[in-house]
Parts: sequence; C-alpha cells; structure tokens
Amino acid sequence: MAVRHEQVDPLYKSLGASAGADKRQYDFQLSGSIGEISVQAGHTRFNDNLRRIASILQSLSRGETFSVALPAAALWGGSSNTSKYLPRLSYSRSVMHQFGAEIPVNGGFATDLGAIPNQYSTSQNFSADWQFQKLNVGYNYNRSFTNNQARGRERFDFLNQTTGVRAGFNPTSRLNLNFELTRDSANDFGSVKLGRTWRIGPTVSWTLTKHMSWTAGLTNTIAGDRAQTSGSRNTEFDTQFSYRMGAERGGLKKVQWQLFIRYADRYARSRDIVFGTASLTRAQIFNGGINVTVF
Amino acid sequence: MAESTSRFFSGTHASGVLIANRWSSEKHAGGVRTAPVLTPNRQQVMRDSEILFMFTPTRTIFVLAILCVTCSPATAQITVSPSETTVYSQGATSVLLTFGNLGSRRPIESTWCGALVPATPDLGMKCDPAVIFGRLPVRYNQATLSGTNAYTDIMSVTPSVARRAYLDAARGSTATFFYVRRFVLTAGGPDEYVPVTLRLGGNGAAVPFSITNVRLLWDGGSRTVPFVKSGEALPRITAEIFYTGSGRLTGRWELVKPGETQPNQRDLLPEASLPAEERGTQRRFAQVKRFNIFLPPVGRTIIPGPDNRQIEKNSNGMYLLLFRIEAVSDGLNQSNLEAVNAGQGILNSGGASGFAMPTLRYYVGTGGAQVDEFNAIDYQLAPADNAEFGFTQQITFTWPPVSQAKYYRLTIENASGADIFSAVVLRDTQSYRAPSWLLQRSTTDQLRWRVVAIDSKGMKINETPIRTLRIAHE
Repeated sequence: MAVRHEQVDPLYKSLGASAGADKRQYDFQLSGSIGEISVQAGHTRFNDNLRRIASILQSLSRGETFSVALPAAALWGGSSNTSKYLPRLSYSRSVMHQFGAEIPVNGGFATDLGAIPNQYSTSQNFSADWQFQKLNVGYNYNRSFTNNQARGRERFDFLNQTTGVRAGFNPTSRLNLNFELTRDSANDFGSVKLGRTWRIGPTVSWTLTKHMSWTAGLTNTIAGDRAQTSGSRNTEFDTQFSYRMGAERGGLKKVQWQLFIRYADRYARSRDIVFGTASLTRAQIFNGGINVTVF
Repeated sequence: MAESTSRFFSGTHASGVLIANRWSSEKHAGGVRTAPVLTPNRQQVMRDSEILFMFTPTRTIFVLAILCVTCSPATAQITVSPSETTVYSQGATSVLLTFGNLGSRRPIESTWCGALVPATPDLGMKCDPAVIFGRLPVRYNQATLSGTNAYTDIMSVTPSVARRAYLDAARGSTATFFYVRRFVLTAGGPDEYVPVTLRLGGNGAAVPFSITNVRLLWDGGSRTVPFVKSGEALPRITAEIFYTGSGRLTGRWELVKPGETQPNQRDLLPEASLPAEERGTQRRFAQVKRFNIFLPPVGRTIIPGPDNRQIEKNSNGMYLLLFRIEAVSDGLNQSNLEAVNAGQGILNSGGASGFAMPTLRYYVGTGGAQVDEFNAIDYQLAPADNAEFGFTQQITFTWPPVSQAKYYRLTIENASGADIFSAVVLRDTQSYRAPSWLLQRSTTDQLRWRVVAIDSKGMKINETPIRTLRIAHE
C-alpha cells in the first residue's frame, strides 16, 4: 500500500524537475500479487488554484485506476500440454472526473459556462501475448470515452477504439518476419463524425550471409470517415540490400566498408470535400552508396 | 440588454465584444463575490469602455457605423476563430487561430496584454502599453497565410506570459487577458488590431489539447546518442510528453535512413499546427509504429517507443527516429472557418504545438567506439591500471553499467595468459570484492583483468580494456 501527497506551489519552476505548478495531489495505491498474478488499484484526487484566486478557474479531479496482469496458464492451464498455448493477459481501466469548483468571478467564464469543465473520461486497455520458441503473437484493444457534461457541451463526447494484432516469426536466427495490423476508430459525437484508420505493416529482415543482408518493409494506411467527406491513403515501401566487408581482425578490425542499394516508394493521397482540399504526392527514391568506417 | 449585446458581437473582434463580455460577467457575478479591485489602468479602460458604449443599442450601432466608415471600403472586418479560449495559468498553451477576411491586409506582430484600449486612428482595440505581458517569440511563430483569404496562427502562450497574467489576476485584476495580432495594409492605410480573449484556468479539461514539450529518450534519459553495431539491440525508447487539456494522442514513429533527405522543420510540426491545405502534405518516411493513446487531463505522460527489434540497423550511418503527431478532434482547439469567412467546416487542431517535434538519433557502425560506456572518463573503472596490492589487502573491482547487459563476467589471468579466476555478476551490481586468496594463486608478479558485459542472448556487447594488477611483496 502506498500513500503519496504532492503539493507544488503556484509559479514554482525548476530546471531539474518537471512538476506542474499550482497543484495539490493525493494518491492512494494498493498493489498485491499471488504467484504470477499481480493486481493494482489506486485512487487519485487533485486540484489546482491553491491560492483560490476568485477570477481563475479551479478544477477538481477524482480518478480511479485498476490493473491486473496474469499468465492465463496460472489460472486455467496448470501444467497440462496445452498450457504453453495460453497467453499472458493484462487489463487496465482508469476513470477520471474533472469539474470546475465554481464559476470564477471576473474570469470571463460567466458568459460561456460551457468553458467550465465537467468531464468524465474512461480508458480501458486489454492485451494478450503468446510467446513460442520462434513465434510471438500479440493482440491489444483500447477504448476511451470522454463524456462531456459541461453546460451546453453535453453532445461533445468522444469515443475512440484501437485494435491491433501483431506477429513476429523467426524461423532461423538470420530471418525475421513481422506483421502488424491496426484499426483505429474515432467517433466525434459533437460533429457527428466517425473516422476510421486501418494500417497494415509487414516487414522482413534477412541476413543472407555474414556479409549480405536484405530488408523490406511495407506500410499501408487508409483513413476516412463514414460520411465519406474526407479520406487518405499512404503507402510506404522500402527495400534495401547491403554487402559488408572488413578486416575484422588485428589493429584494423574496425575498418570496414559497406555497399548498399535502396529503393523507396512513397505514395500519399488525401482529399477533403468540406475544406475543398486534395493532394497527391508520389516519390520513388533509388539510391546506393558506400559507407566506409575507419574507427 | 447586456446579454443581447454580447450575443450580437459574438465571434467578432470589435471592441464591443470585450466590453460587453466583461460587463456581462460582472452582472452574472453580482452578489456572489466581491468585485476585484482594479488597477488604475484597468479601471481607466473600464471607464473608457463604459463611456463609449453604455450598452444602448443606438450607441452601439452608431459606433459600429463610425468604425465601418473608417474601414477601407475594399476590406471587410477581420474576424478570428476561436475568439476566446481558456489557457493554463502556470505554463504554456498552444491554440490554432484562424483569422478571416484579410483582404489585402497582412499580419505583423502579436502581443499579449492585460487590457485593451481603442486603437484610434487605427481600427479595433489594441494592447494597453502599460500592461504588456509579452510578444510571440519568433521561434514559436508558425503562422502562415492560408485558405480563402485567411491566416492561420499558432498562439503559443509562453510560460512567462502566463506567469504575468497569473500575477496580474492575483493582484486583483480580472483574469482575462488578450492576444492581439496587428494587420497592416501594404498599400497604406490604418492598421487593424484583432484581439483574442484568454481566460485563466488550471491544466485540465477546460484548456485546449496542445503539446507543450516533448522529450525523446534512450533508456529513460540515461543514454544520449547510441552507437551500435549492425544487428545489435538499441536501448529502450520512450517519449515524455507534456501537454495541456485532454485528448487522444495519435501519430506514428518514422525512420529516416542513412542517405535519405532529412525532414525540414515544417515536416516535423504536428499536423494540427498546419492549415487545412497543408495537412497530409508533410513528407513521410518509413513507418515503424503507430500509436493512438488517450491522455487524461493530468499534463504529463510517458509513452513507449517502437520495439527495439523492429528498428532497422542494417546500414552503417546515422538514423533519425521521428515522432509524428496527427491532428485529432478536440472540442476546444478548433477553428470554425465558416464563421470567419475562411472556408467551410471546422478545422480540428487537437495536439497542436508551436514547435517542431524533436528527433532521436543513433548511429550504426562498428559500435561502441565513439560513445563507449566502459571507457568514458565520467565512469569509475577500478582499480587503476598498474595498481599495486599486497597479499593482505582487499581488492574491489568496480565498473560502469552497460544498459543492455544481462550480466557481467570478471576474468583475471596471469601474465602468461592463463585464467586464474573468474566471476559472474548480475546486471544491477557493478562491483566485486575479490577473495583474499586471489593473489596467492598467481605464479607471476602481475595479473591482468577485464570485465565483459553479456546480453540476454549470451553475446558479448562490451568489454573494458585489460588492466594490470601488480603484486607487492611485503
């Protein structure tokens, strides 16, 4: 169990510390573990405007956090043959409520009460990871919801979700394959706009011999909104072959040279009907060279 | 009446806005708290304002008419969105502003101040010279002409300006202050001043989501510029981000490889700091990882960088790791282009900043030569070379840490190269006290020793130079 109290006076400034000034914070943390299962829970509360200057907005914040991490085998697998296929799991959730203490006097807020915050934000994260001898696989999901309760801004809520899958495969110590797929969605309730972004990104790295290596990577990102008012596509492809030589022994062991040939293709296209903008950029880059390292 | 006047001027910069807002807020606050004592200058401004308007519709229209007559007939009044916002009272805040109806006027300087005075014979309200808080530093000036007869400005309130505004409020003045941009007619004519009203608050959900500082770190800041061999693991990467408000931090890590053209400062700006037509046109590089993280209203976070194994290290030379931030929706950091006649729609600018993102550099080569932790003079490697010890003396070996080390191996050999002792020490320990019988095992008068750092795969990643120990015969 841990209890922490932090108070930073108004206008405090330090070159060595990164403390935000004019803030008083209390943290209560509870953590424990049973075998490989670890659990943490915490409560935070803080406020600003310590001098209670009537014309400056004072915000009060209350937050709760909870997280748990465990190998699934510890719960269900035991020592059976299938236990090695069970993932390592983690889940976390944090909630924060921030609101204005009162309407500041002569602070410019009286005519725009919506500027006084009253916001609930919730963020949840889940991940699962599998680790085998030559293969690792991961999945993660994140969801955040911002619930705005400020006067006149009740509709201005945001819901964001991110889902990702990744895999890495090393069939030999010289060959490395990676793959990643992510999907983001951003729902802006105030503007009634739902945007989505997809990204796919395979990469390969192959050390053919002690001297030769080849790498290649592709990333394709597609973004757009449901109403089809805007969209973009970005594709980046890179491949490179390199050949390295050197003395590798004696006093000249650090002297080496490397020949490389690289090709890159960059494609970026975006359009926005509302703003009336459209752009297309395409670049194909081919370069090669010799690097000489003397020491 | 005050309410209707306030609404009438909403979204424009005409002098009536500020006065109406201030008058209105005092009426709202009446009976709740005692009105703060105003400094003479501020009182003077209030009196001028009250004399000027007194919030009768006839007088308001009359003054507006005079203002319109003095305007250039070819130019409409410049408007700005947002015309008011809340900023952090103890530090920096960045907000994207869009000025519309520029006509042939061109922007000049911008100033923060605690009070406004009529700009006569020029147009609008300008800063009271007695209460100037500061000017926008050139290094934070990312403003550019844009869109339909418009001007996009990144207002980066500096910490020193926020401090002055806070102190002014602490002395009893109103907590609103102003950002005033001056526009001139190149062909000659009166200047026009366009103010934005700024309220003071803490760093929370009331403040627009903006990036105020970014630190990209190797191993949490313990390394500066790593030099690695091809295929070696890089130190752990993190980004420490200071921000205002709350929102979603979305972006990507990209890699500039040796031989590639470097990005310019405009390429490294967050997308939200750019006008609509420039977004999506920044140069892109090989993407390493995407991130999309929710930032609660606490002001600081640390996010993990890309997996070290995914970062390319095949070619020799200098690599740059870029931290690119994309624009996100934020109810507070946005410009209504339609309202200022600068186009259509709302330009979201969550995640804006007044500065280009830093980059993280590393070199691939023969590794270790240029920044060799074991040989750096700041670190203590002991005993000293050729140090002399008697049989009864304690010998303690110490060495500097190596970030990727899993464990260290201390080896001691005699002058002929035969191993006489070795020890394995875990990564968190950088010292070893030799057993008392060590010197007695030696068949020569000298011993040689070194420490080798081993990584998790059992590979040697660094080693100290070989040092000599001399045996003193007492």
